[in-house]
Amino acid sequence: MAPDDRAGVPPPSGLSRRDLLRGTGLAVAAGTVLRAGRDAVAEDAPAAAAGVRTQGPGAVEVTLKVNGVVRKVNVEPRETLLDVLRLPLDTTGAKRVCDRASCGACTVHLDGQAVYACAVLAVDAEGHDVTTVEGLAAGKGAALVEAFVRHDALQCGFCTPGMVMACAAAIDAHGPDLTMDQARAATAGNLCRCGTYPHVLEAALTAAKAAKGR
Amino acid sequence: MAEGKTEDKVKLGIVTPGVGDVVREVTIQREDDDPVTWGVDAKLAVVGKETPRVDGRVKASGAARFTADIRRPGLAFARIVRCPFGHAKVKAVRLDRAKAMPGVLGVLDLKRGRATYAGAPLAAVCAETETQLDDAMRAVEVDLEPLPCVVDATDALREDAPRVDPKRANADLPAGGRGAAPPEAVAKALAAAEVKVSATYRTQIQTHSAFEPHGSVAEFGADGGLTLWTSTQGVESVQRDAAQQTGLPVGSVRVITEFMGGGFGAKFGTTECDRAAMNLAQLTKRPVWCMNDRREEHLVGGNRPDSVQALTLGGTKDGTLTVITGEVYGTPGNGTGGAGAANTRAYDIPAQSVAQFGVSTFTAVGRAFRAPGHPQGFFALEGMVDEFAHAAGLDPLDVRRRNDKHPIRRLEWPLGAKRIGWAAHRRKVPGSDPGPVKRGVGCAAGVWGNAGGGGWRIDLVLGRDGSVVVRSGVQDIGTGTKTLLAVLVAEELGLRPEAVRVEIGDSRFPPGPGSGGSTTAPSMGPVARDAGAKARAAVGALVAKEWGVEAGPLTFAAGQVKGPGGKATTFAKACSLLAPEGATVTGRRRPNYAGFHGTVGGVQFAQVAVDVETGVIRVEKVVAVHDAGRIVDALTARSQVNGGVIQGISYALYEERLLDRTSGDMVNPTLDTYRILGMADCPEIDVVFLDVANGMNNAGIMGLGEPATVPTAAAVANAVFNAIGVRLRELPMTPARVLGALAAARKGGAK
Amino acid sequence: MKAFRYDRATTVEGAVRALGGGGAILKANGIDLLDRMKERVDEPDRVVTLVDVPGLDRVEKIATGVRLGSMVTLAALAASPDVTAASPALAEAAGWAASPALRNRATLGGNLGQHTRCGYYRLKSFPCFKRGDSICPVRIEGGVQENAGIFDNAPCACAHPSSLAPVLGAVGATVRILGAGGERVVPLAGIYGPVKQGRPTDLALAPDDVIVSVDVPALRPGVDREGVYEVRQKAAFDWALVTCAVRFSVEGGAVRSASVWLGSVAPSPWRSAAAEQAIVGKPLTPATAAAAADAAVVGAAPLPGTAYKLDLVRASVRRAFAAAGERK
Repeated sequence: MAPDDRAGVPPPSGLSRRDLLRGTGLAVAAGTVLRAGRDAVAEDAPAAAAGVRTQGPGAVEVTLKVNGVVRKVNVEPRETLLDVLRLPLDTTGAKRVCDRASCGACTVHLDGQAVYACAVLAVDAEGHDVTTVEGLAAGKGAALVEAFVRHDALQCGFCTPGMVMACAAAIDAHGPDLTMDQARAATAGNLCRCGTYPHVLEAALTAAKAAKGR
Repeated sequence: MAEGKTEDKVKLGIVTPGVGDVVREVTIQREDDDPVTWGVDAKLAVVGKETPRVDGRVKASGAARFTADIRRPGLAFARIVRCPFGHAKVKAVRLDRAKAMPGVLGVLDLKRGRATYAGAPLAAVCAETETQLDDAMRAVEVDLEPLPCVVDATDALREDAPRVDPKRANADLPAGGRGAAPPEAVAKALAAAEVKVSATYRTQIQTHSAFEPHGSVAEFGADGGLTLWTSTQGVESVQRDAAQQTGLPVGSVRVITEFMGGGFGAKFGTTECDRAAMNLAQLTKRPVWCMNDRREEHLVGGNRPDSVQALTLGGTKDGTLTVITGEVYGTPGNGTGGAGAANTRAYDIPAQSVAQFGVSTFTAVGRAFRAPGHPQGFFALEGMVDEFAHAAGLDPLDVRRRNDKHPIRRLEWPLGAKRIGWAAHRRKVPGSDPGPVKRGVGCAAGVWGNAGGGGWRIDLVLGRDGSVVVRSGVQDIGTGTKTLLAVLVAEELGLRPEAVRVEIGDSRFPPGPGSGGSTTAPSMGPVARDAGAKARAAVGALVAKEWGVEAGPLTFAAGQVKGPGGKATTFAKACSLLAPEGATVTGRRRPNYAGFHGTVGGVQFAQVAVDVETGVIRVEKVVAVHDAGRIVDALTARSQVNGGVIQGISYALYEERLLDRTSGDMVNPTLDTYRILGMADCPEIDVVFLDVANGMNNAGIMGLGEPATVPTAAAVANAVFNAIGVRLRELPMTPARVLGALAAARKGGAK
Repeated sequence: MKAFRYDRATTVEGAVRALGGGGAILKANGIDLLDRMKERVDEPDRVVTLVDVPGLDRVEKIATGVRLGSMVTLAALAASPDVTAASPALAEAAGWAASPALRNRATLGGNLGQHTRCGYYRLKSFPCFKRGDSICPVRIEGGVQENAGIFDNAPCACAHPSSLAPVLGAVGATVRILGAGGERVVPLAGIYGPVKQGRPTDLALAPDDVIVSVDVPALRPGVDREGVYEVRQKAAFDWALVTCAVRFSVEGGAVRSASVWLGSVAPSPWRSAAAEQAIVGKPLTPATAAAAADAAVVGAAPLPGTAYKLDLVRASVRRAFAAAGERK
């Protein structure tokens, strides 16, 4: 079988199969694919412009405030807040599921606002307050955690920390009068594969009622 | 009476009141020391109530450590380098540059001469940190020669299609049959059928998309033994595979799955990541973490095969179904097995002959996915039943009820119909709503059958202080197995479930079944009950002796042990009569009894709103009426049904693996372009249980996880027909497909 | 991601200078950029960020309307009374984009500059015209066509995914840019350019240009009306299949001027002059809106798998006008 033709389907526009499969980083068929990119910043990178603070590319020490505790950690600029939480800081509540800001399993609070930790560089979190599910559960989120348990708002538990953080943000924003629609909107960015959605909403409303007013 | 056996007459049947008098007295012959199965009149303290998950707090507070969270001293990280082509000759794998990268501890050449699916593993790299690993992966050089591939089952049938296995055609022919009636009987029934409908239904490849990926942390101890923390549905299956793959005795391999982030059928035995972790741990003498990322999960983590189901359904004009024939094929990836569609599993149609075969393609193998074969099979079967009803001018619910002889499911139809408001909301003329948004309702049946089995054991350790610890190697994949065990032990001992400590997911404990087929609850629940009963007997014997009474009449309830003449003590005090080391009892699983009925039913009704100008479908409400023998925990059971319904709607409307047909790689290996149902899409889900004293095991439990997802896509599709008057026969029902079907209908296409 | 040096500018001028050195890419909060860098679709040696530049996240009332700093988040846009007053459609579109956690971080500038969601573009193992190859695999037989554009879809069939950009186009927004040559102000369309082989971005800006702010002309009460309609497959947290934004003025019972823009149909936000011409001079009725909708698809050349977007364009144009009609 000739490798040039997709069997039975003549390549359009006279392009050969090799042309079709040529892509950035992929060489011509029978050549090398998955070639390494440059693995270090070029020696001739321009010096920092005036008034521009630089970090990296190697590790730099950053001071992160996580759940009220100041933590000093060495991170490269390319490391996300999620990876730094989960590895050097061993705070594994926030989960890595998609790593592309499309599922919500890594939801934490940054200065009290829900964000996806995989979409925040760790160096960008310096100077801000980071709250994870562990901190929330030990503090003002205890009632919310209990509500999750009571309403069975979890199954495998992998999306749950993110859901808890999203619900906590909803309760912070709307207080005891949190409505179903508001809870739904607040958790719209938290996917779940096991099917906890109905019970998560119930838990959010129960916990909201128990929360003090703003 | 056989030796060691006792006979009981037990009233079995529907426990839920007001459903219909479906109770039979059944003679159960059980092993002497198995507790008597609960009949319809059993008064239960904890079973059947809402018990919050015993591991809920540790999960919701972020404290639970899943495999992805395991950290060990010296932990190193590994990933697999994979082929991006569906078909390629692997001419060389060069690892020297990667080996020399900073932090790299070891590399593996996975020695594959030919890759036959996108994602095929070529090499593995292990490094100190994830960032170093990320860089080192890019330094792996692979020489690939892309070859022609075919990724679609229909394309793969063509004579000139590239062959996955050069020695045979892609199609696994001759086809196997389901319920193959003799050809003459089928031909006769077809000729005699007063109403006949023929159509082809198609379903897509669906990926499991469990949130925790496949993978493990592997660590060899100083004594050469292996500990494997792994995300699996089968602790024992992984232990067996790992022992075989490392050459270690099984007893030297410890597998731990304390928490796992979903499986849905994809996680049995060891996979590429687990093997890479073990190999690299051996090579580097470090504990090694290796898991898939999201793209890899989509590509190689398993999938539900697709289906092309060409069916003919016939019957009488008053709605009796008499014949179903057809041909079904699909691709389970590189292999041929597992692509069947269960489209004859309801209504006992007398003349059945549906041929099924698989077609190999250059895609990663499918894996069992929540009710394998059934969502797709029922989408087609129930679509055809609806088409038959429409052709005959009959109410599709009436046709189903006319033909349904399942003793439990036939009672579920009227319950569901009432709750969805079938009479009021079913459009007598499908598609007759004015305005661009049209509503309709549809329904579908489901079936499953799992009363569990197996010779499993559970250890129960009683402490002198009244502590109760239950140990089982079984895993909890999110279904609530851990809680189920606590409830059943608590029921026997008269305790609250929180007073029972459950330890699971460790191969050091007595092995349990893999969590598949919806067998876990029916397999292990009775074992837990048995263990509880034995513990109760042990404590009861001591109390009886202490009080000088017969043990039989002692009651264990509300944390107390009570005897005749007002004698009472607490469970804890009763346990103080134990020997200093406490007591360990072992519960056992006995073979199943004949019971009330061997399969569960399940019916679902859906209400949808379809915007005919945009093709967008919204499911507004689903009523799910299910039975699963004795419901042990009403909370977790409802969660299971919610989960099945949600996955079923997601399958019906959104999910689709999109492959480039030239390269064979997946174009949407994400969670935004591979769409799964989100919070805002979730309808109101009304779950109704028929509690059944089933009697097939001592607790009467049947499996629930899979039946909950069998009818959903079919019910939604039938609702769509009722709403717009046009039949969609292909999943997922995307706006493009809805608009296409409407356009074809306007041009005079077939309804 | 490939390792990079993180250049934290404290002024916009400093950012421009830092970008001028080459091998650098501009980052706001990085919602889109980080995704691309994780796939190594982008592998800059240096990332120049605006996160330390004060004042870029301001919403400022100005004489003509409202001035939005390029670092204003979508959440801030949605919640701002000044934005709602100047352009209710902009606040609305910002409020349903993505998810709450993304809206808390995603910036206006980042939203305008985001790259196509095309699956081929975002995975390096595929060839891609924008990433320098000579073909667009969407356009080849066997390519996945569902998400492609329907205008200007050759040689590259990508679609710009922003749902805010069409609104900004419709309201006549202008964009203030600081570059090596100084500051300039251009209409929204001016920041986009045609697809070029080897150029991943749709922004026709120099590598050292920085979007500083966007001026939104205020809706004139009693004169202007605006509406936006987005078709999404999922109810929320989903990319738009098609977006339509309209702003028009009504005088003497007839449409005097109209601006109709579409999103997710072309490599950059797409102005539908044909729809505008169809409605100008006519009273706004369902029939005239439908005529504008039909005009909006004139010239579209969808690939077979994208033909459904014609219906979606028609529906979203009709409904954007209807939404405008309903708004007080």
